[in-house]
Amino acid sequence: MLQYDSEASQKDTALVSMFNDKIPQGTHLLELCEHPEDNHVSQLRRRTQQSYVIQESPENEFYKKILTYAVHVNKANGKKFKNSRIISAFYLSDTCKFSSVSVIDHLSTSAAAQHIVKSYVDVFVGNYIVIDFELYDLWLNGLPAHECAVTLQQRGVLQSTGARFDELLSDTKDSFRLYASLEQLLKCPTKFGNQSVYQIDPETQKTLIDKYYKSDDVVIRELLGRKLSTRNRNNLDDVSEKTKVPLRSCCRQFDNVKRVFKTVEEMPGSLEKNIKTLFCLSSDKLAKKYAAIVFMTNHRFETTKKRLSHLTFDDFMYCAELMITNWSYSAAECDNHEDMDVDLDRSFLQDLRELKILTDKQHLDEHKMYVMNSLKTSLIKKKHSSLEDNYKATSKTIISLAYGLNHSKEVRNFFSDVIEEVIEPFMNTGWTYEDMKTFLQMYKDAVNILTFIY
Amino acid sequence: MPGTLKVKVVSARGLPVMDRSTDLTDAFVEIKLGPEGQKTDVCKKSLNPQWNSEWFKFEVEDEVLQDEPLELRVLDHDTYSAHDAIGKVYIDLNPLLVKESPSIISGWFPLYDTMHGIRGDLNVIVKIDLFSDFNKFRQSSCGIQFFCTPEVPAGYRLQYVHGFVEELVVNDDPEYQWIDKIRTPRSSNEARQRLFSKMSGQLARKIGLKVLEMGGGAVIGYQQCFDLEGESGIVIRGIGTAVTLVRLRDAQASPLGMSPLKDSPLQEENHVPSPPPSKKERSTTSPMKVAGPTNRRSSDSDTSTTSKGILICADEVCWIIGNSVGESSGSGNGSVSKNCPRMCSQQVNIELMEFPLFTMTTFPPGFITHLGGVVAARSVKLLDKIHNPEEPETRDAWWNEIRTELRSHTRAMGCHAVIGYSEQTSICDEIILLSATGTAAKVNLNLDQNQSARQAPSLPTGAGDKNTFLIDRDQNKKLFVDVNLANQVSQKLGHGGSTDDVSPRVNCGLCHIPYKPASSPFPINLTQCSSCKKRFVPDVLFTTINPPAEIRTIGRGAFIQARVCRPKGDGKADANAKEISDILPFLEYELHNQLINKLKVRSMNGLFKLQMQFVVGEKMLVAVATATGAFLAPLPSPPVPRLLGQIPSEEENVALQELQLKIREQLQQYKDLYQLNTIDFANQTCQSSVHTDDSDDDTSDLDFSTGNKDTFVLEVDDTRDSSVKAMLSDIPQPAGMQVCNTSTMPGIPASCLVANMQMFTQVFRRQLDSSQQGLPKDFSEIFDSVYRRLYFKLRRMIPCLLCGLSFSVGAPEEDEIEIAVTGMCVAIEDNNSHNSSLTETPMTGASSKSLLKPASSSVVGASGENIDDMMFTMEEVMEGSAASANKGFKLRKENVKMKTSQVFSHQVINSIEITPMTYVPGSRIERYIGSYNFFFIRETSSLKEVGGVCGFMQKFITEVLAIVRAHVSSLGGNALVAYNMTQCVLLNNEHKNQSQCLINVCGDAVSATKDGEVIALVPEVPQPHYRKHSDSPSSYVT
Repeated sequence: MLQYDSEASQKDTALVSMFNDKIPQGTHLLELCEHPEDNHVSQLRRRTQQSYVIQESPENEFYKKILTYAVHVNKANGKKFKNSRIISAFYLSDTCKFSSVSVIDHLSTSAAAQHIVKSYVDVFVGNYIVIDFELYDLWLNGLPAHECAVTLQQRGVLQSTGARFDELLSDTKDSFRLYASLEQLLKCPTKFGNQSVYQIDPETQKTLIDKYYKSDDVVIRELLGRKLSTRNRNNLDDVSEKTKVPLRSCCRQFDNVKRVFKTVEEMPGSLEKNIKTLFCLSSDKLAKKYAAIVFMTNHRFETTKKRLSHLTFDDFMYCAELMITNWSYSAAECDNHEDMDVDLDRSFLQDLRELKILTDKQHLDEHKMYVMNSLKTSLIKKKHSSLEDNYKATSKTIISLAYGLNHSKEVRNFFSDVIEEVIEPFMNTGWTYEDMKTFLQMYKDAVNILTFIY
Repeated sequence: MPGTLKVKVVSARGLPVMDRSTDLTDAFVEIKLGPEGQKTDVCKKSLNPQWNSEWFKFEVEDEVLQDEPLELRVLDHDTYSAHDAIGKVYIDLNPLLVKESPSIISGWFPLYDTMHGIRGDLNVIVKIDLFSDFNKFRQSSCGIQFFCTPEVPAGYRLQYVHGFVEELVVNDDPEYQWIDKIRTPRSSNEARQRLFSKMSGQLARKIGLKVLEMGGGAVIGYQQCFDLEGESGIVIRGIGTAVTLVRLRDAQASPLGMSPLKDSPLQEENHVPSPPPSKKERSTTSPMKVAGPTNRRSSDSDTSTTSKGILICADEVCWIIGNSVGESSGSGNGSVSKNCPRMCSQQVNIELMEFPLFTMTTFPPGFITHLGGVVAARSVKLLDKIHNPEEPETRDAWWNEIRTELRSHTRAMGCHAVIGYSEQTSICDEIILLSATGTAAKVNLNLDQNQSARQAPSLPTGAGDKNTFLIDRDQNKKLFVDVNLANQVSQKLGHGGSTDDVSPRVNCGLCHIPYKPASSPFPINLTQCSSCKKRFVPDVLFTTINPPAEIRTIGRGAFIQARVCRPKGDGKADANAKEISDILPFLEYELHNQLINKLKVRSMNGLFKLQMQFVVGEKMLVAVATATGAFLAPLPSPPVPRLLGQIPSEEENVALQELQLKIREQLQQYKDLYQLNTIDFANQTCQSSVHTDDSDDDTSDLDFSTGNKDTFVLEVDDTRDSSVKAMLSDIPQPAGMQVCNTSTMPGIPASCLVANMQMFTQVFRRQLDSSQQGLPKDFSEIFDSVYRRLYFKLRRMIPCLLCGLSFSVGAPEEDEIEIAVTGMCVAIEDNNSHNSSLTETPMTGASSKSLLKPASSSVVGASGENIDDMMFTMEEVMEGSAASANKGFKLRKENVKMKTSQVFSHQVINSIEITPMTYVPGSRIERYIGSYNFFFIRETSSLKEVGGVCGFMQKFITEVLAIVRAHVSSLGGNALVAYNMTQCVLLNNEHKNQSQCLINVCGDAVSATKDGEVIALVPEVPQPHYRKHSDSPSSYVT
């Protein structure tokens, strides 16, 4: 729908005279503007948010006609052009005709918009809910009904059925309305179990939920560690721009994450299981994903730093999963299972404090000896010696990282600290993933051999 | 029969948040029956409150039980201010009052609020204890069963037909009372809903009384209509056919009258029901299942001791012999009637019934002896001229007038009964248009099977087109008197007549004119019956009934619709009424003309289930006629339409010829489509002996006419004539999709209808260009849009049959047209296609294999594919509807598991089916539980927020269906048959952001089980599985 601000366009009244009195009242616009190009329509749609001024250029010819006609209708109605809003255009059929123009005095945009919709009822209701998942996907992507229909048309839906664009659009709108009302249930999928309004078979239901909670990794990557505040939600346009995912879809994913987070945040028991049952997710993968997201969000891990920008969501998810299984209350070693998965196990963190003993000169040397000895065979000489030189600093960094986990502020910066203080120095000396892995393994194993003197 | 009503409120779930501060609700329930009310405790701070209350008891007269619905209202307790309403549940108690029905209603009912829609569910249990009361002067009519189903319900046998019953109740419309100015929209709506419900209860009770008086025990084909007259009040009208039914022992009585299995005789309860209310029909708790014709004899072994019973039984046996030997007459009939002095309700003589009106549309074989044609009467009245608007007298008089007129038409056609009768009104301001339609026919109330079984040459002959008038032949009369002496009614359900084979029970007599050919008052083409070559038949036959099994049809049926829209002036009162009545005949003529044209171009000669609707709008008159066309074998082949016109110029001539060519092409296309190609050929050759064929058409397969004189000539004044265009411009249905408005499609055997896929409701409203030239074009475009949308929406269901299609047209505003379509999409399986040699058409090519691969795999619907996955997760759904956790549940589950191995399973009965048909394909109706009828009102003052008027309507219809399903399941049923949306009134004020909608729905709740037997006819299906599905496994016989 094109919203036209009349004030801005008054200068174009000259144009109006062109058409004045030539158009009999009641003439449909589609007779006025023969076959506009396809893209006009989308342009029109994109203009909906702002008013704009007509310029003398060929492609604006079409808009001019709409305006002119609107003005004409206005005059015919004996009303002043001033202070009126022109609402126009109905995208009617595949030949892109516009069928209706109205001029409304002093009405708010929405009310005016409704005027145009007036008396158009077109609904189809079945006893069973049948979902066209092709359409559903488009809806989830946040496409408006028009664009969606256009997309489907391009995919050749109409060719196979011989229907017109009109029907496709009507079907699309109809389905979108249904999805919108189903969204209430989708937001809290357990409600599907005891609702009687929609007769949906379990299979469809499952697919509906899974698809609704499906997320784009790129979008989630952007949301990771962010505070799920309304302010951040309003800034999703950046995310959308960056990821090329439609804004509506971003918003849905944001809302999903937020909802899942809010629901399970305070809940005891396994994070993944909670998510799976409360949101009726059928795939473990999806539940795992959300568990990781909730975990990351809860600790507000900093992930937006430039240093971390090369990391994908999968990387973070891998880490988060390990953290949940090893460090949180559901970890195997943890004997206090009453608290939540979302938090790191307090006693585990307490234990980490004791690692400080490794920074004592005596233990450090002994630890170093063990580690260096065992690495002799697996590391090339150059790397070995560089490690030997930096061992003290390296070990200290690692210990302090672990120690720091007791402070939430340092937890937040965990990833960037690890990258900055551990990974990058090693990378600079040409260490590979394998090298690193063996080193850390040794580093860990050596501790067990050590005898500690307090 | 006063009774004690017991109500237990168990719990609620999914309540809305009523208290913003706690985000919770303090709910309690008010239980009301009539003026009396009780309430539960408050369940604090819960959205899923558990009351588990004690039994609330109401001791009331049965009159109250019949009239008043039980009202449960959930409120949010508020200490300081008024309690806030959450929602209401209305429960109709009538199903509990019928002996055979369940004694308990229990389940989750959606809490419905007229302003907010469904808000949570309430779990309630309702019971009734009835005491017997033989007071002669009682006002109640408990025990009378009401069936919306316009035929003999499955599992019953029609014993007596008592005739037409009607009643009319008038009341003030609460919306027009002064108090409405000060009360909230909610209380106004609720007052209205309550009133509607009460009136409908009263109406049924009064009709029930009439039925009792007549000696009947049930009403079938019950139709109820609300006339919202506005200032002058609300009128509720009910019409139906009073009958006495006997429940069949045999549970095998499949709803479809066409299953070949049903050729086996059915067992009946062999006793005569004494007149109600003491009528005791032995309800069969565990229906005996008979597997095949080997069990014939069991019918006498079951004979009860009454002499009458034996006689019926004897007659039954006699018939069997008669049928197999070939010649036998029902000689015992006369004595039967004399032998039963106990019977208070004897079959009334047809003559005494004085042109009875029957509201049924499907009749037991043998019931109809001749079909005359469609009769209709219309009348325009002024509502503001009613002297005494509160009293029903004036309206009664109006309707009587119309019915009398209809009866006189019937007599003029030489018929003595009207079948497929229905009444309709259209109101616009103070104008009311009343119409009554039916099919004039000669019927045989005694339903002698022997008569119908044979093609008795002694049957009277005749034929009648619409508007034909004649007097009975003496001979005919005599015959009927003879037959009427007999008083035995028996029914034969089975019929294999829908296939192309000539079944022995096919009877061309139905098509014969019921009057003397010579005394036809106006020229009508009579030809010799092509089946018996003895009697005369008309060239076309219009009826308002479903295709009777006796009439042999060829090819497939076609959906035919004629529509006319005419502008009219906006005169006031008298002048307006006069104008309307002046236009009406022209509308009717044009409608008829269109129907004929469309019929001819499809090479057909019969119309079934003709439904005509006349609507008065502020500035226009609309008439729509919907029917299913078919080629009736006894009637002559329709001639090729030929154009004739004054040709002033060469140019015109060319155009005319092009048009003629187009018609010819269309004709051929239709012939392919409806499979009329070869059959007509055969037909023609057998006719050639009678007629001299001197057709001048060069292509022989195009040649339809049997002679020049029969050519159907269309006069064209102008090559752009709209009438010709209309004939050719119907939106073609997509390949693989069949459309009809009857309950079964002529030419598609019942065994091909596999499963219900989707019941749909489509509401469409558009503005019309009200200018003189634009109107007809716009008007037909609107209808085209409706079809296109429908076809597009259901494209994934192909191959399918859209049946029971019903159109309801309205003119809500000056320049607006509203169309509401309901129908059923049934999966078909073309096992017929390889039998018939000619499968050129794309639709017959849609073999059963493609059935398994619907167009796009991306659709997974409740009705779609992926059945296998559905099987295992089914339980979830069952949990959702707690009420279905009855004993039938396990059974069904078992059913489903078995079906995993089955290929042809479209849908598992795990959900509540709603269908406008009288049967559930692939299932068998075990039991009728009660008819449901409710008036819903929904209003919103935040239209924008609910997604505009479309969103509002979509939500509302969804909710209505949900509530209907909940009620069916609470009664222990799993389907609602004969569903009908009798009213859908949408009032819209978008400037005020408001909208109000009224919907009235009705139907019969039934319990159906998957019918293995019918499916077993499909060759690929392993049979033995289905044996286990029977309700009582011990009693079946293989």
